[in-house]
Amino acid sequence: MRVSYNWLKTYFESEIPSPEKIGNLLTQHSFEVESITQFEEDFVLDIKVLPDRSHDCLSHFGIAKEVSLLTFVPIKKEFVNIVPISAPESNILQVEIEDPKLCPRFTAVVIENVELRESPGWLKGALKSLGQKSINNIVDATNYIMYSLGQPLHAYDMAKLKDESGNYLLRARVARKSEKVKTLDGKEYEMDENMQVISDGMTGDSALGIAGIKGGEATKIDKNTKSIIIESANFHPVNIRKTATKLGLRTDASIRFGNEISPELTLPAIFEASRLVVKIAGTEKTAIEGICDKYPRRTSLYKVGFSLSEVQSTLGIDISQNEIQSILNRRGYEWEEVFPREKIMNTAEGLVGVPYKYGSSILSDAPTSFDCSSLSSYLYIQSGISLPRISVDQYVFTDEVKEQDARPGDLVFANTGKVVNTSGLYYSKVLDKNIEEVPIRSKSVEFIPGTEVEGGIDHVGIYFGNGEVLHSTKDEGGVIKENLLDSKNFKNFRGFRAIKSLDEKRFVVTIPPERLDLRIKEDLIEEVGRIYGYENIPTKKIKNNQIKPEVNKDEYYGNIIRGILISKGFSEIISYTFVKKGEIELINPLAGDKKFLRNNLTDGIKESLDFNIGNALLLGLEQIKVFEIGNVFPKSGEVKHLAFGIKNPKGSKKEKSEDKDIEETVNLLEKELAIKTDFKINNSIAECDWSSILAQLEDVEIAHIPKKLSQARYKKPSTYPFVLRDIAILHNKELLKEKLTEVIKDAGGDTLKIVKLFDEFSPDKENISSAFHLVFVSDTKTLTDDEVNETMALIEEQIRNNGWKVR
Amino acid sequence: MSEEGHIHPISQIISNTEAIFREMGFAVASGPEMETEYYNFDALNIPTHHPARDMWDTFWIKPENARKLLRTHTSPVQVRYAETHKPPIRIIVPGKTFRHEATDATHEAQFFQLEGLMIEEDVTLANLKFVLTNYFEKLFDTQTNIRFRPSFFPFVEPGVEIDMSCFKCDGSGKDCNTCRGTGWIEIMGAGMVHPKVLQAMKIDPNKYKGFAFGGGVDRIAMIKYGIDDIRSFYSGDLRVINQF
Repeated sequence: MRVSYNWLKTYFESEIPSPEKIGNLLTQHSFEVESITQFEEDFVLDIKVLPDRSHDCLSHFGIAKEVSLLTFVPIKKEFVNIVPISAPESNILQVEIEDPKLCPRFTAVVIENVELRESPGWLKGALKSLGQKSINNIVDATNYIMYSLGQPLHAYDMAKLKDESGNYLLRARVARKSEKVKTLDGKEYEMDENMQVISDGMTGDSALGIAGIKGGEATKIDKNTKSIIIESANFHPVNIRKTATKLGLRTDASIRFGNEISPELTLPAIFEASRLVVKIAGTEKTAIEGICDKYPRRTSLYKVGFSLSEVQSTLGIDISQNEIQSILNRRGYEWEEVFPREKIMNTAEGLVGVPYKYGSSILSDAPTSFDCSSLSSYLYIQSGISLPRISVDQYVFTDEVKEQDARPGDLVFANTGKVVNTSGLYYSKVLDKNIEEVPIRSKSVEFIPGTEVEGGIDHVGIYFGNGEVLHSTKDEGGVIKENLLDSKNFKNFRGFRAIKSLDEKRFVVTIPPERLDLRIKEDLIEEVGRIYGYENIPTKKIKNNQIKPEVNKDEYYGNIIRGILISKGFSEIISYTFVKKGEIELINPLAGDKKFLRNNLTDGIKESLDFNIGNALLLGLEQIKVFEIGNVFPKSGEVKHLAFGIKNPKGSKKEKSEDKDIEETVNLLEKELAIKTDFKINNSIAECDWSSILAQLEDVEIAHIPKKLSQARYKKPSTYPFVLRDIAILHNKELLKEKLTEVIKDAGGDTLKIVKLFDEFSPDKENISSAFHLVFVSDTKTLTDDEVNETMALIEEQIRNNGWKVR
Repeated sequence: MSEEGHIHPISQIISNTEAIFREMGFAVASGPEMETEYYNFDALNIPTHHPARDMWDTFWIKPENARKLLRTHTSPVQVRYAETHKPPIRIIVPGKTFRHEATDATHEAQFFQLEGLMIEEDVTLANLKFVLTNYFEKLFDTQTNIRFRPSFFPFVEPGVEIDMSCFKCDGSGKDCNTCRGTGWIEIMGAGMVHPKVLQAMKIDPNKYKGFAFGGGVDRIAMIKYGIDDIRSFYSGDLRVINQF
């Protein structure tokens, strides 16, 4: 995401450090700054904001808050809490939400008598730095707010909406089958019943735009626009992503909604947008007529807790209580330190009499209604312990406590045995799917799903000490405190249970609404850790294992077989899994000739042999021998194979034929491993199923010790053709071949790559005639005959200088 | 006397890596290249339709409703391993992985990953630092520092990027091409295993903790040997392989 440095500066009271310094701080503590480039009088930082921070940091303000945190430069007061505008509820506009799950919030403002003009220079410049075109002052203003606060907006020309006696209605609904929308750029899209649209609710309910993605042409802002409506809404992330993917539309709005943003952002964005529009599109007649805001399912803020020991035992840092406190303060969080049992008991005391509601939500119903497990979950969450929502899960989450050790704050479980009227589905947010409603569960649902609990659980309460239990029960209409032994619901008692974090002081942090990434204690521990600085993490040795790790038989014998094959001159290749023809096909191949998964290794071996045979001389090899161990994909299923192949150059002096070599290799493998193999041999390439080899081999306890890692310094092979020359030299028989080779190499220089002896004979008693292949290749160009001849002349000169004869 | 052949540099790095980790008590686990959506994504806290899925471009296999794919990392093997082994767990998982990406000098559709997992009652990021520092020192045969930077992967929390000090210039960065003058080389991603993933492994996150790490073997080989084109590993070209 591109961020303008000058734009960032506008959020701060005083000077902030240089772009480089900020880039470095962000990379070390928040997210990677991939580049910083100068752009006219500004700098643009390219920041890699990952999905976890896309809820709050796909905006300049979000980034500014991180910068403030790391540089200690405070944010301007007017941004810390965005000042509302004084505007009444709109008299002429209403908004309607068809499904709050798909559209959690719809906020809008009516601004009358605006004037369409060119945007002021500063606004054009700001948008330009992000690579965005300026359109007009009103549209630019909405885009500016999106890049500033992270809330996408859309402006409608009010005159283009239908009205009934001056009343307007905007509706968020799903599209009708095959409903069409014409977007701002003139394109037409056909919708389906899963996609959301914003419609003109007054007459005909026509779709005005693709909700959360792109606005429509019908209500486009133009030079005649007098009054506008600005929409600031919130949409379900998965719905927007699916719609955007299906339509092949990806916009800055769809990216932000698709990553999920907090519904709390809509209103502040409306305030800022209104102020901006009045400032740059206003006349004396401009008036903010009113605001409407539909937010049917307001939820309370999340509370997440952690203890000092949890931070230390995750990060491995010796951080102190004080240091954590100061980090939480720096971040401006609302937090408290509690003793869990105390906090649970104190909070619980005040909840007696609260009515019962089955399936009560912790975020929207508590603390005004509870069912048995939402009560315990709510109480634990107040003390910073994330107790699961469902009673059987709470059972699995906690540990057994003996009756005599039971303490206030512990949980009490029971199986009431009642057949409660429950049916249908429960949507599990944790699992992101629907679960069948079942009155008594004997398997956990969301916490370590599928964990068996003998006898089943359907009721839970808080132990109050002195034999008393507090619980929410339908029978008594809500939360009551009673004697455990007298309680009807706890007749079929299933035990006291607790968790050790009840006994340690805990930080409980109220999570700001835009931080959708902070939901479990590990999220907060990361927050503390990254702000504190990961450079503070020491290096700590791990314990020595008592037992030696088991040896992977597959890997062991793979290494053994590699060793056997390379001793026979074979080199290992790794070829491509994607091929032209096969039995298993890809849905989305990268290329037309890579549509299938290979069902054999032979084809890859053959390709390699054919490729390398041309370079045999350059490689200094008399034969090309390669092998591969890898997975292949026949229709019957993925299996591992071993294959090896041999190719001899045409007219080579090899005594043995390729097939004989293959046979020898097979025999060697069978002998060394003491097994029988069923290699299929085709054109001097042998291939067999790996498991048939492995099945005959013993398990091992002592691991293979690999050859030392090659310390080669890689040299890229030349892309230019090589030139071959032969030379025969007559010399005294005492002369060592190494010395002769050295002289030739020296004289030959950089382009002489290979000096290979291929023949020798003695013409008389004192002398030997040695014949060499010389292979020349340049890294930078194709060598000409003349150039090679020149080098040959130099070589011959050196030979003569040494007293030998060139034949 | 014929010359000895050559083991592929990727295999060399893998076998040496296995030996280094074995000394630290890590076993080697392996698994299939063709995976199910469950093991490759869902069990690792990467649900369908979540933006995090975009972090892995995937090859899907016909038919579509079978939800089969080519694994995009070797993490699925960790989940499979945990189904049959209770903690303490120490494993590394080297293997071929696949990403639906256009190929060029630094990107290939198939490459080798190395991942690791350690789950015990007491494990911290400081232990992770020790394990990886020790590994890189032994592999590159030189004193090495590593540093953590904040990052995000759905299967770990905290999540970090790991840079190692450049072995070419000893971390000074001076005129160094290998690390582009920064003194650091980005080499792995890692973090503490997300409690959701522990639960998918049927491990109680209240009782056990763990770290996981992962990186490209190809990348390690390219850095160590100065190979500038990842495609050289898969060309079957002995002018490349026989140098090692």
